[in-house]
Amino acid sequence: MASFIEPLVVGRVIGEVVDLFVPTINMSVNYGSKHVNNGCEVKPSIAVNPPTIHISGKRTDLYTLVMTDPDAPSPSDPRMKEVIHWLVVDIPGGTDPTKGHDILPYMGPHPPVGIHRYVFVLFQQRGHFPVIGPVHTRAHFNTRLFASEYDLGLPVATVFFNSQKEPASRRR
Amino acid sequence: MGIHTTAPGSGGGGGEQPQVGNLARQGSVYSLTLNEVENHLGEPLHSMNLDELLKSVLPAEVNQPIAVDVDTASGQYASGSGLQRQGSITMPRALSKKTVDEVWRDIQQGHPKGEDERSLGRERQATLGEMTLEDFLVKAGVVVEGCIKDDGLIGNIGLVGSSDPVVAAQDFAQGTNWFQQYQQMAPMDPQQQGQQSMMGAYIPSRSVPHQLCVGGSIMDAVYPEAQMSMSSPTLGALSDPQTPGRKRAASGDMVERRQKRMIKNRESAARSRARKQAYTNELENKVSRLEEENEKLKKQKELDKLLCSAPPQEPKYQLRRTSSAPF
Repeated sequence: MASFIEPLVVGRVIGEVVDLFVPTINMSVNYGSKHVNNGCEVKPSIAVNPPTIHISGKRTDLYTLVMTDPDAPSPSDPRMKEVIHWLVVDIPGGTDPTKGHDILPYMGPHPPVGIHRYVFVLFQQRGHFPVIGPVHTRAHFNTRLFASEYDLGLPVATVFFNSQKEPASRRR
Repeated sequence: MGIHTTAPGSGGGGGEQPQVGNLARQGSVYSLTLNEVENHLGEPLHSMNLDELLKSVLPAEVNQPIAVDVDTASGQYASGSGLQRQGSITMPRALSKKTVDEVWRDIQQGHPKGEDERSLGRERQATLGEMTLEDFLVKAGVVVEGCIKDDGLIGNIGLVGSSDPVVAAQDFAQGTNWFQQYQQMAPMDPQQQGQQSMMGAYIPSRSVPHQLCVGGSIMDAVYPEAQMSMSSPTLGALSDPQTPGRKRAASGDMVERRQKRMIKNRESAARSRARKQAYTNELENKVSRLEEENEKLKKQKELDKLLCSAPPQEPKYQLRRTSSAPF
């Protein structure tokens, strides 16, 4: 099982975004035909719309999904870390985020400088998610803090991809 | 005899760790025997000038004009490019013109040039070829002692520490090696035998050892971090000819900026490596998982096939029990 998280450790997702955990749920993320493997490269242009995500788990369990960018605005100078791109709660196990409650709508990656990591973190909720006010700002989000604040515990699944700014001009 | 790595001083003389075939490893060049050097160069050494010998032995980067230093002011590196690459080899005018053969003869004659007598009988090698480059140079007086009156520092040769006190006769003390600061070693007791040399320092016994490093490349390889900052002013000047930092007035600033840049660069490189590795990791895991699954599924398929044909099947339309024959 360790092999599942090793890329997360090497890519420093475990450490910078989340703590060491044991994955218990399968989560598959797909942007169209592109399946997201840890550390793969995804162009911002194909990630404009939310990916199709499928999670395993019992139908009676509820899950929270966080998509965050720990390298904002630049990996060498992540002043705004993290920037949260998507927040969905109350996702029933075995389904996908469309069946959950979209607290913060999906925002595609648009890294201004450098190569950013975009991390999907899945938590298992203990019960229904409490009502929370609108999220004021996406910047300076902290996944760990968020998890502890809402008693989400350690993640049950995590996957990340890399993305960088696409060259502006296209050779025609 | 540390070459690139740590190995605190073995002051052993030459001949260790022959890095044959890689003369670019400067710290060890001097510990090659002349035979090896010859092999490497592919031509007989005997009739070469010392000048040529050294030029060919040292790789291109230490490509200074071999300065002939006889009366340089003490404390100077003979080659004015002292700022650039350390490790310019200077040798007395008299010697450079001589051929290897002649020098060898001199050596065998017992150092008539007035080298320290201690050298006699100690390191004399049976044949020229077996002598290491280092020893040869030493004896030749490239790192000269008494034969040149002047005490000016002659050889900035980074030689692996030699236990030969002979060599010491130099007054290295005078060559304030600005590289000394880059070396992490404290000046050692002059009489000390066990010379420590991280970089291949040539340590005279009589004076404060100057640990010199032939070629900036060694430094870079061994002490990337610690020395980067310190070497940046000098190497930087070389490597970045376009910056205005050439004017010494602003060099302080430039140094800092360069340092920061270097650190940033290093971090960026580390991130990049981590990225690459993470992805590779992931793919490898995936592959092995898929392979396992594949195996399992194949076996399952086989099993299923076998299972399917074995059990007898009741004809579906059988309403009564009959003793039909099993297939």
